[in-house]
Amino acid sequence: MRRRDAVIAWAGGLALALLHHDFWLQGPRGAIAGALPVELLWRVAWMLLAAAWLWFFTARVWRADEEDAA
Amino acid sequence: MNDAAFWSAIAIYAALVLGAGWLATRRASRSPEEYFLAGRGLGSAVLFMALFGTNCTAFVLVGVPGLAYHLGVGTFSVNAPLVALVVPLTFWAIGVPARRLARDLGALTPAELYARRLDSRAVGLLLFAVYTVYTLPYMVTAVDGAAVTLSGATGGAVSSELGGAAVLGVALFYTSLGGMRATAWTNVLQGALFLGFMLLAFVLFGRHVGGDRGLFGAFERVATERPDLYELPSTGLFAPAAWSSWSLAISLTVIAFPHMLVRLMSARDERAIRTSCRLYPFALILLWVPAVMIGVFGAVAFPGLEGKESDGVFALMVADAFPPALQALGFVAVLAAVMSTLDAQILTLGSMLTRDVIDPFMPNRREGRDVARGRWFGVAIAAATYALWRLGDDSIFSNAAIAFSGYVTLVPTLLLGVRWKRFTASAAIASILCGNAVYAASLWQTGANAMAPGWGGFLPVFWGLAAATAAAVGVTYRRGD
Repeated sequence: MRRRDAVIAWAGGLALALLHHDFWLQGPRGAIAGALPVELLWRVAWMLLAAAWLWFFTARVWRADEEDAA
Repeated sequence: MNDAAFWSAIAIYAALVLGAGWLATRRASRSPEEYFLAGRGLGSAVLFMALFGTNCTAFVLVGVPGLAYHLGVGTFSVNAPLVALVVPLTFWAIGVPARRLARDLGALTPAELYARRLDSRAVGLLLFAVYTVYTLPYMVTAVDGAAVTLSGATGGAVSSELGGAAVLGVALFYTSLGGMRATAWTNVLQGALFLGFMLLAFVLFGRHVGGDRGLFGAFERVATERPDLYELPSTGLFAPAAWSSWSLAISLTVIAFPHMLVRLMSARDERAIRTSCRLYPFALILLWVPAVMIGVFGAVAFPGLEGKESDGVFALMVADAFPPALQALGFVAVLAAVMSTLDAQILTLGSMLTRDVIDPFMPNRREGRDVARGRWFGVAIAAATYALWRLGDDSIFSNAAIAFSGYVTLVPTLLLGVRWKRFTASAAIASILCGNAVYAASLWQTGANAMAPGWGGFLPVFWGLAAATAAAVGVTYRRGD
């Protein structure tokens, strides 16, 4: 279970790191509803994903690490 | 600016932070551990606000809108997201074991922790030296920013010299009174103040720019008049190699600030650090989206600002769009952002001067006297900052940008020192010296510009970190037995 959680967490972290390099969004992308910047919305969505990932990481991998240290 | 509103806001703010310092005085005087680390007892809410308040400087309020004025929403992309992910990870990777070890070894400062862990006074002194060289220019820019803002807000009635002295004096006073606990409590107030103001400013300024269509109208105006500000640029800092190395710099530098690491060492338990990690991304979204969009809205509201003139967007917004009471609040928000970092820096450098430089040469000292010494050394650090600000030349400001990336060269030592049992003092010293030497050489190649792409298109920070890592690992394997 611990090993599976760690693999899921680090694979998710790697995916987030790759998605951070969003060079496919470079150049004119227009605006959603004629007003909202695509790039900014994508970045905020990425940060919310990162927050969810951190929640998983702190609940599973970190707790296991804490138990080992104790 | 309305004088009555301005001075009332200043008086209320000063009374609150000084009151927090006074409240913390009695507990701070009990022992060095209470004074320097709040008795290792910061709970979740206070720890989070202390970390967030210390991490966010006036640069986010004033400098980020200035950058976004020219670069648009790309300013957000290159800075905020990776910080939201990697900074909490470094809290786990370095901060958590550092807290455990500091508690077990009885260490009260980051330099003392690594000196004891690696059983080397030289490591402690070297860390103190590097921390000081990189932190003092930072403090100078903060004092300068607050002084210029204060002088501007009073129409020159308060001189720049007096303004800088007042900001340093107030921060020093409550820090000296209550130590870590006072700075953490004031950070709660300061963080709430500048975060709340930025959210309010984002909505009010957006409605001002958007006219009848309100905040949404402001977004529409930018999409119509300056669509380029909604695009992600592809050159300079946004080219792949520069983007990657800047991401390294901005996300790894935070844990290497001594005033951040010492806050993690003050945590009551790991649960408090975990909670801070979970909240960090949300707080960054709430602060950075308004900061960037204020700059973008400013580009259509105040067109034609050239170069560094765009740093005036925040002041222009406050003067143009807000009533007197909010103008005063805007100034206090900048002051709060400056002081929430400055107080932690004064305390941390003062504590390291006490524990890592002076104490080892006083074997018969009474440890209880460290609180008094810490207070006096805090005064010395503040005086040195003021002197450097008044006597130094303009290069001090470019040095602050260099320092920001320079901290990253310490990360291999900070990480391996608490996570790798085999890591040695020799490896730590080699890592710090090699990392900084290569970083300096790379800076020389870019004309002392830490944000200009150098060898291979990477920023100097990349090469400094690579050299520091190689030296740390190489020397450990070569000398370890």
